[in-house]
This record gives sequence, C-alpha cells and structure tokens, in this order.
Amino acid sequence: MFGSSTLLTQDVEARSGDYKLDFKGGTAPSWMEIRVTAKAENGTTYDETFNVDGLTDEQARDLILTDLQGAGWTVSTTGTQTIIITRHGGSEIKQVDIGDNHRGYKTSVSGNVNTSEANPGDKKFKFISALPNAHSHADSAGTLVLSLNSHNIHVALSVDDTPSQVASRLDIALTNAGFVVTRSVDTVILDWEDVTNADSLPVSPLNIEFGLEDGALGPHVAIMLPPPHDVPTLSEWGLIIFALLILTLVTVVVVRHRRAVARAGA
Amino acid sequence: MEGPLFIPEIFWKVLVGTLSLAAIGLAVAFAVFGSVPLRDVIGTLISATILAYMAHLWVWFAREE
Repeated sequence: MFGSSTLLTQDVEARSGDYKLDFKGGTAPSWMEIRVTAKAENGTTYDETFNVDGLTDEQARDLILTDLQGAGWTVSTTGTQTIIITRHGGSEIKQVDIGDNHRGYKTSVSGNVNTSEANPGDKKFKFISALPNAHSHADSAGTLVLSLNSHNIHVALSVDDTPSQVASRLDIALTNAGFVVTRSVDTVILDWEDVTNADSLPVSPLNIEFGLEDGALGPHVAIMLPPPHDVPTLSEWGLIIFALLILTLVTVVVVRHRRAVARAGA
Repeated sequence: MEGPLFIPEIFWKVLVGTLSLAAIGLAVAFAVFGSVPLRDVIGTLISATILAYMAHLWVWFAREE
C-alpha cells in the first residue's frame, strides 16, 4: 500500500483523491484482493474489497471505478491505472485509502489539496494507522514510507505492531527528522503552518507521500485531508466591497454637505 | 446645481497609487502562500477602484479647504 498527497497551486478542485493500481504489466495473482476506502465531508463512507484474480490494471481499475460510480461517488480516470475521486454528491472527499494483500505489488493513493481552500489554523494532514489487512499470505509488515518534498522517512515495522505502536514509531521518526508533529493514539498530525515545519517545507507546492512498501501484513494507513473553508471567499469579498461602497456613499454625502455649507457662508 | 463629484486628474493619480499598493499586496500574498486565487485578484481590483474613488474625494476636499 502506498499513499501520497500533493498540494497544488492552481485554483481548481479543492481536493481530490487518486487511486493507482500497478500489477507491473501483468495480471493480479489468484488470491489478490484490493481494499478501497473513501470518506466524504458529510460522513458518507465507502469501504469495499475487490477480488481482482487474473485481472489487468485496467480491468481492475474499471471494476472499482464502476462500483464507486454506482455508490454515488464522482470519479474520473486517466491512463489505464488511475481513479480520481473528488466528491460524493455535493460533499468533498475527506479521506482516501487503498491497500492490497500481495507483497511485491503496489497499489497507491494520493490526495490533491489547494492550500488556499483550507481553514487558517487547520492546515493539517493526518496520517492514520488502523488494524492490519489481516491476510495470511505475507510474512512481513514492510516499511512505512513518508516523503515530504526531499525528506524521506522510513520506519521499519513488525508484524505484531498495533496501530498505536505504528503511529508512535512514525512520531519518533518525524521528530528525529526535525519535524514538529503531534500524536493522538493511532493518528499522527502534521501542521504545515507550524513555523518549524514551514522552514523545512515550502507551503506550496508541497508533496506528501505516505504508504507501506514491501509488506502486506502491516497497518492499514490512510491520509486525512484538511477541511475546506467554512465561509466561501466570494462572500467575504462581497462584504468588503459592500462596506467600501457604503463608506464611499457617506463620503459623497459629507463632501456635498460641506460644499453646500461653504457656499452658503460665502 | 452641484457639479459632478469626479475630478479625473486627481482620480487617475490616486488610482495609480492604489493599484500599485494592491499589486505589492498581491505579490506579498503570492510569496507567502505560493498562489493567489483568481477571485482574490478580481476582488482586490474592484475594492482598489472603489477605494481610489473615495480617496480622490478626500484629496479633492482637502485641496478645496
């Protein structure tokens, strides 16, 4: 499993999650399963496991794509491996996660976030560690990999690691790498507005990749994307312009009045 | 009969100054945040124009006094 998140500078969709399948040009082995999860801001959750026995990247991609569409998610695709998910109904994507149970194959997930769409004070990424995929075909928990621009953090995991132990290992590794993070049980939070983090990470573009390599018995990790603005910026500009118009009107009235007084006195 | 409350020669000078300040502000915002949404650029231009008209009234009135 591998996850990533990229902060874009364009004023486009506030957020999107990408799923990418990579069976290395061949077909998936007989017992391979892919688990896809997504959460929207309104609380809608998608969590499905697909048996992709003998399918190519494109066939597996289409299988998942069709199911997501049937569940009401807005999805699109590029190439033969990628699924882009943006919203469920009118609610934006909040959390994306994908995992496979086959060591050596790689499924990946990424999230695109426009930094200006996030609330000041809440510009955080949350890395969540959940229960293992619990498949018996792997003998390694793999390595947790987190890439923050040029910083690459690798955390070796044990098969019997609990989610909180995984989060603790990641917390320590990030701290040792000079980042300021906070941990709450199974979740590690990175605030890109923190002064120390901002020194290491330019605000934009910021590229975050998070996932598990070379192991299928490890934790089920997820990226939670920061929430969007509570109040639309357009409304804020409307209020500013309205206030300026009223101030201008008052100025015109005052100027006219004082000119009239000056003339009367002359 | 009141004359028009618009003095072109003052307004254009004030507008140039206001837009210059707005451009500096947008440049600072771009340097800090890495991007400036189009709606913020449009909002800044509209606000700057209204502000310039108001400022030109102040300048004009101050000169008359």
